[in-house]
Amino acid sequence: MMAAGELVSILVHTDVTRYMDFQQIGGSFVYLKGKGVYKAPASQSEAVTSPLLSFLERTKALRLMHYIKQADPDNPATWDGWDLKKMTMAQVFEGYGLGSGPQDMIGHALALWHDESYLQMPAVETFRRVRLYMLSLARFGESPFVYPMYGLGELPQGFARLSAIYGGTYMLKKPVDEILYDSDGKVCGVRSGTETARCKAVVCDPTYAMEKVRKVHRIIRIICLLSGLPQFAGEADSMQVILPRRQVDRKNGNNVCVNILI
Amino acid sequence: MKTHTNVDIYVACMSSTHNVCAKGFHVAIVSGIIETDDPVAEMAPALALFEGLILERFVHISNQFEPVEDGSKYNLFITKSLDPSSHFESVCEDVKSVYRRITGRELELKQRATPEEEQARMESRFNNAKEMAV
Repeated sequence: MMAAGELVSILVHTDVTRYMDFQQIGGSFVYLKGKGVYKAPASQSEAVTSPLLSFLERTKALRLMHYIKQADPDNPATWDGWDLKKMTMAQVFEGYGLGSGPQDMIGHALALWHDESYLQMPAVETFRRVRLYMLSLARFGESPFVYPMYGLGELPQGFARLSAIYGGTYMLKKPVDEILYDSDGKVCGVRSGTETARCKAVVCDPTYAMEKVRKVHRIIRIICLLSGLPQFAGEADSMQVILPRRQVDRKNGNNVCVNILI
Repeated sequence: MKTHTNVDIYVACMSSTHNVCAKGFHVAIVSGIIETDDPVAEMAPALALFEGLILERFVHISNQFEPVEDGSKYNLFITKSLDPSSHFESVCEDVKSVYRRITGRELELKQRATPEEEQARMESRFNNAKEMAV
């Protein structure tokens, strides 16, 4: 998770951080087609020396990063004459003369967009995200990501403990057999076996109410146990990697172009 | 089959410093949206990063759902399935959305009472209750 991100501020705000510890995720790397794997710039000086971008791209990308730094999304006066709410990110990239390489670095590795739709959205959204990335980076240095000690299972546990303090009740290993509705069609309870819990509202994940959800995608997750890290990781002991699909030539798996974010 | 080209593949890789595996080992999670009938092959570019290092791998395929309505009609508020991203920014958006759907207000992270203030409040309540009992 991002060190200065929404989740961390929710965790700090709710005091869930009382029950959890975080450890930073190693460093940042980028792999570009035909170029191999490189450390993603974690600072201005690294950006200048990064072999990731060509000499010309570097200057242009730096100029854009500088602009993003000074353009406060909430203060149009700092936008230097551009209307970031009207302009798309594609127009901004065009204005700075940046090609697909630096675009993917900024759009996917820094702003963490999932697809290319951000290019057509108002630029201010991407600015917001890049600024969040830089802010997170500023907290720790090497990478903007932190990970909970003992794994992600600590997150629900932390919230469960906090909830218990405020009188919440947890019932584990209880199947939900049916969600009950009253004559107005409103939720009135949940049945498990022969027992019923009454309530005014239910919050649940989609698998409990399959008739009220639609399938959007299928997702694959592969968990791998590794004997070590690839060489490009260098001294980093952990990482987050993002591979923009546009950079991944799926017909030819040997010659892939990948952005890696650690 | 719907195509979603240009959706990223994510890899998160942790080590023993995060207390998720023994020293000398690493755990990597590769995730992405499936676009073809051969999902493992789709992840090949990510798996290739760890060539020769993978001791064991576990493939898990699941459906990603989202609610068709905001839930206020039934008072049944449904979250979205987790997306394949390995950071949590989209989850927070969903949490805020559920809060908005239930309460009609935006989730605001206001300054909460400190433990000391909480303690004082509870004590005064307790004392009031005691007085009333007397």
